[in-house]
Amino acid sequence: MSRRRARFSEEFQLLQERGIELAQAYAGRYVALVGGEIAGVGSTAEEAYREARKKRPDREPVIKYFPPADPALVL
Amino acid sequence: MAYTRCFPYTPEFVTGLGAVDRPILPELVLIGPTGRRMRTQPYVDMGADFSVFPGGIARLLEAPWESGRELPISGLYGGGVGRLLPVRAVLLEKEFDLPALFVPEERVPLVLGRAGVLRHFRVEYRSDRFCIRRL
Repeated sequence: MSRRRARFSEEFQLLQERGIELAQAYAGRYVALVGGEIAGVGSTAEEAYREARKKRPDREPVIKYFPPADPALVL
Repeated sequence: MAYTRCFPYTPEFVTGLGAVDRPILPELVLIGPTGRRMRTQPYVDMGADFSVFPGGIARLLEAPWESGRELPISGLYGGGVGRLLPVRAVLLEKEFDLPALFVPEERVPLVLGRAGVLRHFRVEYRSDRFCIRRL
């Protein structure tokens, strides 16, 4: 891990390191990240958030949506 | 206090293209009218007029859907009618008003657009990173 990356949150570092893999695995889904792990997954932000709060009530998750890996989708 | 922070692009997979680097913000905190906070990781898209979030985020923020101004919209998330709801946001430790468009569709990318943002920040897209300057 470089010093430069260490400045960012664990949630962001996870995306930097495993972004491609996660985008494939969770295409079209919401994830709730807590630290360096995925604490919740759902088809809505609420589902992912509530699952994460149940698993990790001590931490506020970061909500992230992975768009479908559709070739037509250019953000 | 003006300062600049730069962030690496995040690789995401797109069928047929492979890894595509995207400007994802490590954290944008949204604050609803009751003080409820949500941590999000939106795409930073200064080509977008407004920030866009799914309706589920509005519910989590306890933002009153009916009070929002209706706005017909079209874009990458399709068409329809969204609701313009005033929320607060925190970026680079600065809290500011963010007019955000919430859409009924849930499967939409979270997007940080221009409205409310460029008054307080400058965004620069560089070849290997993107930078946000707090004014």
